[in-house]
Amino acid sequence: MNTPIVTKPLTRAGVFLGVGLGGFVDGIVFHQIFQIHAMVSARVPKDSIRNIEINMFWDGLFHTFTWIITVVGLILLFRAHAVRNILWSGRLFVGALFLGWGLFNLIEGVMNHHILHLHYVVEARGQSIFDVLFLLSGVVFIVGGWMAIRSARGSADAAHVA
Amino acid sequence: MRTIIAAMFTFATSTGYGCTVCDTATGSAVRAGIFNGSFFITFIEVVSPFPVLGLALYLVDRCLPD
Repeated sequence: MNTPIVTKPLTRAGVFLGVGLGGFVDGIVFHQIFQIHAMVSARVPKDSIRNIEINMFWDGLFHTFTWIITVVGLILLFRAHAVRNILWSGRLFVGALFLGWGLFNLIEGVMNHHILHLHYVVEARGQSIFDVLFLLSGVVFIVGGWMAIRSARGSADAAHVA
Repeated sequence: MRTIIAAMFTFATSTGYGCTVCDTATGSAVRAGIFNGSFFITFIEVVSPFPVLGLALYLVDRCLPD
């Protein structure tokens, strides 16, 4: 008798890791390397050592939470390893990572850029087309990730039946 | 418990020595800019996307195929 293939534990771990790593991409690329915004830079502009350090504190708090979500994702991935008949598919896992990353971009973008106005993608321009593009990237990642998950699952089901 | 307290004390002491601006006027201004009357409001605002993300993760998890 064929035991059904399981994908949910790996997908779940991937989505958590995607949210956490998506947060780190934002923090590392935008906050630290390009320095085009920081956590509260719309309210405390980064124009002095004092203000840069205040933003750095809130950046640290933000990274603490993205770190926690990443660790949860790692624990889920470790637990997925123990599940029998799990489908170890690269397409499935990468799809889940993008789904999580998209969720992060969409929710963080809507809340921090458009509702709370804590910062904008390119602070020097204020709220701009870049904030819309950030949300759009979230939607594209979610849809693309979801399609990759469905596709990997469909291929596995077809192979299982055959 | 003693180990945790000792580790926290060591960490706090070492970061205190390592901080180059903490004992300056800038350090005082930074602390005043963070730990003021709006600290808790800013805290809630900064972490607020995470409960929403948690809810989104829960909803996505329910929709995922087994």
